[in-house]
Amino acid sequence: MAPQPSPTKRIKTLSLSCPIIYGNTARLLTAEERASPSLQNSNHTHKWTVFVHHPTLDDTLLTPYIKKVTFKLHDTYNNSNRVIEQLPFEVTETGWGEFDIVIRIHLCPELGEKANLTITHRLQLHPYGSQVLPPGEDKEKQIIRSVQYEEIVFNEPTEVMFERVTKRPGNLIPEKPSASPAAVANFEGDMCPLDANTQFSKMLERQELHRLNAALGKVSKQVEILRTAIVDKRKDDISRNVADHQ
Amino acid sequence: MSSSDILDVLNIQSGSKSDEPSAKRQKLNSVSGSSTTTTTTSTTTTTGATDSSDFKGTGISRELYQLLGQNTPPILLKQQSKFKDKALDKVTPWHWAKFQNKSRKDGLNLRHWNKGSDALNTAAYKFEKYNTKGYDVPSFTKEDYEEFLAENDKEEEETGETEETEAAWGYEETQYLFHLVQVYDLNWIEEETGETEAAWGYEETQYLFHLVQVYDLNWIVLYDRYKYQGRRLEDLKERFYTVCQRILIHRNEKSSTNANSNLITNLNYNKAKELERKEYLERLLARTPAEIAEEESLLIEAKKYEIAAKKTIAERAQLLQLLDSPVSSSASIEQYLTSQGLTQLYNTLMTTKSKRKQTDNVPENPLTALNERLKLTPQQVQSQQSQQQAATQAASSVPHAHAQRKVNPLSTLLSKNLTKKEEQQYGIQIHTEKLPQGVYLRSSKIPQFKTSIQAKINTSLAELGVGVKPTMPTAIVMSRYEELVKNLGLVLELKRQVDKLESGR
Repeated sequence: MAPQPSPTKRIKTLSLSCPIIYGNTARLLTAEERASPSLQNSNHTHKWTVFVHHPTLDDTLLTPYIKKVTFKLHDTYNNSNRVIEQLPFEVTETGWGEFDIVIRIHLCPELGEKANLTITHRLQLHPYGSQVLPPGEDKEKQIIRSVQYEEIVFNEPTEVMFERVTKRPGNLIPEKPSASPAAVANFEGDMCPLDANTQFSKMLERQELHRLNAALGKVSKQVEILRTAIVDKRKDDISRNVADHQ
Repeated sequence: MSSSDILDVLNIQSGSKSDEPSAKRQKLNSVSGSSTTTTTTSTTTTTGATDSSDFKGTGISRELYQLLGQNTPPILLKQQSKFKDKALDKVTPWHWAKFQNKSRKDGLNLRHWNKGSDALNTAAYKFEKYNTKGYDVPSFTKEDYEEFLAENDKEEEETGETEETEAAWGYEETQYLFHLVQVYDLNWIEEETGETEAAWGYEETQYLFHLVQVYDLNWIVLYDRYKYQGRRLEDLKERFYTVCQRILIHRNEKSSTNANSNLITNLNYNKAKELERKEYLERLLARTPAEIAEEESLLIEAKKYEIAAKKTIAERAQLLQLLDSPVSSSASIEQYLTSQGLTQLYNTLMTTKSKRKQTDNVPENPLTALNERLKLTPQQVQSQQSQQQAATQAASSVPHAHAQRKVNPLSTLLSKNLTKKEEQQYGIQIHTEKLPQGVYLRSSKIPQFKTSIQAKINTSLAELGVGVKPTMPTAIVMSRYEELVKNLGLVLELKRQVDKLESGR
């Protein structure tokens, strides 16, 4: 009979990483929505959702270790500290301004991890950079996404944690950006956090690695140049000193 | 300073002397006429007569009014009409109404004052809903009792006896018990020997049920009034609940239904636990002040330890981070060219070597071992397996060593024989670095520099076409990113040194 996994015993020299995505989606309110009396403030222009999901949008993969998520909204919102204890971990609100949302991920207490994870996310309502549509396109229907990839790392996890995570492979990231259209299609709610083309995938990771490697090459070249320069100068100094003495 | 002076200063043409009282009156009228808080200071001339009988509207006596002079008081004088208006409202009628309390059986007519007219007071007595309806206490007859309760009692006694065979009664103890019985006159509670309880008879059970109905399950009151025989409160409760349970079960058996199954399970009364609970509470109450103080001081001590532990962990983390910083060995081998440097190098190499030897003896991580095994060629694996088989056979011949081997989740995982790809699916990574235990966000481990240097690094990152934060902070990306940032820091440091050398020339 296997002994119960211990919440205090840790597995040495091993780390577990669990990917999540967090961020927000937003869109302009339609004319009817803006006119509806359920809107809290007539100044509100956008509807937005701030969330924490699994990269594949299969949030049941998060439940083994995340107990609840709190979203600290701007103080002007009613009940600005939103505690979400059930899936999906998200808050939908209307508003007009961008502000920092503090997302706090509370882990299950049985795991034996005391720390909570805090992420600050700047709510994004307006498009910028490549998101800005050319004039003439319909801005009303555009969904603005500001999504970040993150990994929760359990270094030397407790046995409980290890057992829970290894029940189901949770670190699966799609191979290509548009590899899992089903997840996007099956998403409940009108604003899917993932664009069909901008999913976090192995390909994106490889692209990033490629970029980093290129940059690293350049930088190490620079390091070499500077090192030789220093050595040369030192030699110069020494020879000059010798000459001076003579 | 008078008002005329003020008017002078403000360059306002005041009217003739005769106009002033009327202006003032105008003010007062406007104030008293409307209860709104207007502070008009208009000096419009009035066309009305200037008779002094106008003060009547102000609510001030004439003498006082005349004393006012030119300086009109800044206070607003309100007509006190509000109070009167209220007093003129209709008086709500109260009625001396008859009522009956349904909980009384004698039909006594009582009276009380009631708001509203008589016709509306046909409603039932307001507090009637608080009348206790009494519990549906199951009843039983002598026959019932004989049929199943007494039987159960006997059974219980028998089982109880068999359970207590371990504690055999010696001659002394029995003698002592009989002595106590004589002293306390069968007051079992006071005796607190507790080993044998007086058995419950039909009469006593019936008496208990009667009391329960009378006192409405108020156990404390019931216990106080219980006269039949000295019993503990818990004994009474246990008896009542078990009997109720039995009756219900009996009824179910009779009608072969499964009613009240919830209730039956809820009627399980754990006397031992209840007694223990009370004992705990009493002990808690009986603590001396010294004990309480000790407890508090212990709690404080514990908190102190916790804080100290946190501190040391934080300090250790800091130290580790310091050790992690890039080795800026800018001078390459130059420092080892002298004889002194050479000996130093030799010493450091020797220490690391001896350290490595030590670690070799330490049992290795099963997962790393697995990894190494996976790297081997199939033939090698086979040969190793045959070796292992031989080893396990040898081990099984020593049964003790085999039994002591613990099966932990790691080994169950190992039995699955994870491949590299599967490992990745689970997000497992085996590392040899010594990182602090615990949970953190991957992107929070980006090396940080002083703000001035960080700004420079950020600009150079932007030049290289890399974001300030990696978009996908996976393990491999982060390691590469860390290297890049550290190298950038190194570049900055080297640049500084070059500048220093140049300026020193």
